[in-house]
Amino acid sequence: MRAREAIEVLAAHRGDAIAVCALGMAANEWWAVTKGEDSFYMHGAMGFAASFALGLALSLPQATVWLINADGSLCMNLGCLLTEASQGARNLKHFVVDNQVYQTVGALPMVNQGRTDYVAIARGAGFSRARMIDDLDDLKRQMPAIAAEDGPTFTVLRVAPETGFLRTPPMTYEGPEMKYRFGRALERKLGITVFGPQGY
Amino acid sequence: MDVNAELHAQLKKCGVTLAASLPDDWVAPLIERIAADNSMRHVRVAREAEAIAICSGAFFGGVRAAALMGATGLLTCTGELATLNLRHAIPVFLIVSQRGSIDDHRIYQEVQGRKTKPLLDMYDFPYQSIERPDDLSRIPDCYETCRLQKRPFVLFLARQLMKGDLR
Repeated sequence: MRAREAIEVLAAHRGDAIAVCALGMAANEWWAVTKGEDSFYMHGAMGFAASFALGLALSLPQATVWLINADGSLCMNLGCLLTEASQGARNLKHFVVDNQVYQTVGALPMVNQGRTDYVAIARGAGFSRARMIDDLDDLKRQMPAIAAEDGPTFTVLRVAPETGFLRTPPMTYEGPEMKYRFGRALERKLGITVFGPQGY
Repeated sequence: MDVNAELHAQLKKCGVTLAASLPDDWVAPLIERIAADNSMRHVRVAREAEAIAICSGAFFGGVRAAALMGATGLLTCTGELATLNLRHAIPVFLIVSQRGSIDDHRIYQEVQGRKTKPLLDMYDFPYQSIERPDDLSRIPDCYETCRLQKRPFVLFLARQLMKGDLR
């Protein structure tokens, strides 16, 4: 299964879910497939897309939040799994695109490459619903149930590493524009107020 | 005046309904007071930068949030404050024990005392020290400044305020 193929299946089952993407490959691939402004694409704070998504999910119990994480980012902040499990957010699903390399910097090997069992780590942190999927047809079969189940859930998408640099371009906006496009998209989509009457 | 009760009341006055924390002993009583408040969502985190990112996510949910930690924790998350909050102009309100002050007398806090504020100055992150109970009423102004300036704002809690004469 290739990363792009897995992302395409996720996007097809996304429904109204708001997405938060880890920086690099996960963000770039999600942008390439969805072109969605109702997604937040991390540009920094590697490892903390998970925490950002949790804060969003806890603040928006009426919405569904999908975290599109990656193995490199997860390893930066494994403690996020304890925090997520402790909060029990029913509206949060955690996906990890696991290609076992640091793809964005040229596919250098991940720490402890080939030996880490992220599902076992998640279960050990307290996730009762955690699984790994490494086959595209299997992902297509399971995805309707995954999309429908209550969170918190943890799904590892084991994909093949690309060789060298994956040159999917990033989203076409950044910095404060990312903040305002995402916030305004949530205001339109959910009828909430993110920014005050003077715009901040 | 019960300082922790007043701090809690001032946060409610700010409209804060979500708090994420990793305890330092000076702020631990405030954290437990918040944890016992059913009108506030409290998130215990494993690393202080999680609290920063949780509060940043909450901002986009239209929820007013605060991150509570010690000065050492603040030092650990300056990278995230820079690459998430500074980069995207996302406000985040931090409540931090001002460890390493001249009255702290803890060898393992002295670097934090000397270097934390210069680091914040370098980033141009605003901060305010609260040293006396009479100053607690300034907290809502601090919170609004954080929103206006769209940056991390650090509310330091001084030793005299939090610990009095206790050693």
